[in-house]
Amino acid sequence: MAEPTPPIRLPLTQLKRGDRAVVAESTLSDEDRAVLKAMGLDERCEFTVCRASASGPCIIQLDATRLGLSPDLAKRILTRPCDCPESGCCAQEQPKQ
Amino acid sequence: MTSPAAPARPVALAPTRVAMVGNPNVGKTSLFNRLCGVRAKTANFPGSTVEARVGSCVADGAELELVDLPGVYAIDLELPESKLCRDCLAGRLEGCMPDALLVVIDATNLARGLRLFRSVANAARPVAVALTMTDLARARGLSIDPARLSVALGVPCVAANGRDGTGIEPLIAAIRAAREVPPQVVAASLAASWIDETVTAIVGGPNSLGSADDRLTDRLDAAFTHPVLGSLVFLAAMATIFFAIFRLAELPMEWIESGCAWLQATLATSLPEGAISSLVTDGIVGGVSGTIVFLPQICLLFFLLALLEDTGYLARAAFVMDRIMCRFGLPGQAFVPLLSSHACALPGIMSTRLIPDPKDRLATILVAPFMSCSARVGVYVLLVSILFPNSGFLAGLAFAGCYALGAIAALATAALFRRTILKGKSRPMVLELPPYRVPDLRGALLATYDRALVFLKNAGSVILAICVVMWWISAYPKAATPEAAIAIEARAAEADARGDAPGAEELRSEAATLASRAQQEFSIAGRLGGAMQPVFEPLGLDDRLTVAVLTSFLAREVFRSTVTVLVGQGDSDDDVRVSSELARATRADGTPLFDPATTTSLLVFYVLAMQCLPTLAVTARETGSWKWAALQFCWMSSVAYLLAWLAHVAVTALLSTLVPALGGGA
Repeated sequence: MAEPTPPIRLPLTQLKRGDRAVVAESTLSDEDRAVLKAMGLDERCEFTVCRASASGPCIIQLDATRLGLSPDLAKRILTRPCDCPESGCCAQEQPKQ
Repeated sequence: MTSPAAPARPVALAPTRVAMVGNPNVGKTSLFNRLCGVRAKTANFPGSTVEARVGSCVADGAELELVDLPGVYAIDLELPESKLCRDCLAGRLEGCMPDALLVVIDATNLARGLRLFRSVANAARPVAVALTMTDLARARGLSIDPARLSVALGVPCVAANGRDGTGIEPLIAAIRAAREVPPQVVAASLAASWIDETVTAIVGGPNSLGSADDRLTDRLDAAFTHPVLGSLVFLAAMATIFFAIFRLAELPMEWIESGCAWLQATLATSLPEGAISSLVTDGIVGGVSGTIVFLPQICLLFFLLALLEDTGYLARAAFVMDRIMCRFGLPGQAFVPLLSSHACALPGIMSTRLIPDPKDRLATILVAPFMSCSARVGVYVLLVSILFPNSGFLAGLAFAGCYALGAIAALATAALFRRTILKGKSRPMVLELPPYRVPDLRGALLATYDRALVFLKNAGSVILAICVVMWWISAYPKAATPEAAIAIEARAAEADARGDAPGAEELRSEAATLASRAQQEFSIAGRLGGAMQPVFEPLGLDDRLTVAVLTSFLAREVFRSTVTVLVGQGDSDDDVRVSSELARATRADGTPLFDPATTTSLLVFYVLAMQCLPTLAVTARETGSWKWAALQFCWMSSVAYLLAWLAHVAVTALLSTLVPALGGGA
């Protein structure tokens, strides 16, 4: 029996414009993670990528809010793209405004 | 509609102190400005690097005291603004114990606002909610009924807009009502699913993400954060600000200078001659006018920055510059203060409040005075024209080199400080990018007014005290009028008797220069100069240049007038005449005083040295400690001395190699 394929996890910098994703994990400190969570970027939150780049800022949209993240920060945030069948994240009903 | 800020009736009730809490960019300060207008001031609290604004308004005969706390995403974060909010809510800020809270929530981001509401509403204190950005929410197809939200939260809730003033009167009524009804939200809000359930129950309509507005925002973001296009846009924006600071401020600066000169002259003629007259005219008016002359530049800078920030552009620009600035340990937001410091370090340092991270902000404050400010320009012109009297190209190159040297020293120092004394992790560069919008002119004017008040208060306290001390050490002890000056005065009287008024005027000016030179040398400052001369000898300075350098530690522009009095034939507005006179000045041994090595070392010294007491006072104020101002002074002076000495050695060595090789004398 084949082992289940692990869910795809991509650094935020590798996503493309228009991709939807959720945060899977990060290598950030607890303090930085708390700041991002307070700004609305936590594991429960689905976001849309407006701009992603390994050299420039990454811009994501969370509901009506746009967040800009430096590439150093963005590459330490691993995401689960929502069009990935393994992720299953989009199957859950997220509260929308 | 009656303005809520306008006093309607005499105050009858005890004031209610209301702390305003909200996420950043929710329109909290706009509401505060609408409620308080000019009846507000910036408040710094001991031990805090962030500030709040405190103001009041009177409505229906009762006074409301409002505390506009800094925008926070959560109050439990280990960030200075979160700590300030925690301290305020816990009553740990002196004189700032709130009776009630006003939580400001962005209607387009209800969930995040509710998270903050839940954390602050637990404090057993009346709470009201102001729902802002309802127009943006409507544009997205969202409908939020404040009345239903009020029921769900158990506290009064009204929609209000600080920009156009709608909902302000109901908001004041809601704050009053909150005081009479204890908050009922606490128990329900503790449930984990409370936020999702509340949002689902309250918000109606689809969130039209991907709308035309979003596509436009996408395009603008792509342009403004693009490595090349974004940099060009940023440079254009900064060039506009720079132009405004330099050019548009010129006229009002001249008015202030003329006004102060008139005041000095009037006081000099109306006060009896003596120490009091000298103290008032030279010490107080002369000293303070040297600082308040920069008020127009400060006002323009803060007005333009407030407008630019309000458009939503500045947050994008921070990312463009972050790529460059992070190599030197500074955030992207540091670029604006550093650029502004080219006009004057005072507004530059004050504008570091744009920088959220305390260590980043401190590093920027410490290095900002390295940037060549407008006060240095006069010194650069004088020394460069002595150094290259016949080559406009080389003079221009040297002039540009001064600016480059200052910028390099600033960035190198920042890199060093961030790796040593200010070592530590910066706050991650994550910023909320507010929607693009037309800036709020009223808010920008109020922000400018607030900054101008802070600056004038500083000029009227610390800077005034410093000016008086500097006046005293320059004016005392009094020197006897030199015999040569008395003789020249006698000749001036004879010239008057002959009817030669221009000749008499010239002689009196010569006598005054001699008397001024004698006073400079005899004063405490002059004696200090004499005592310190051995220290400055390696830079090629004689005792006169040492006095000129020491007296210009008050303000570097003083160098020109001091050196022309001590070395030349008296101060003059004619740059060419002054520089040619100084170029001919000699030392006791007959060699040129301003030889290339000495002139170069002086130039390097003036580029790098901290010679501006008002800047030190503002550094102390903005950092909350004279310790940092002392470090700034010592570091900049040490770097200036070392590099000026190296320049002197290098130019001396170069000339000793080149001149014999070219087969000529100097």
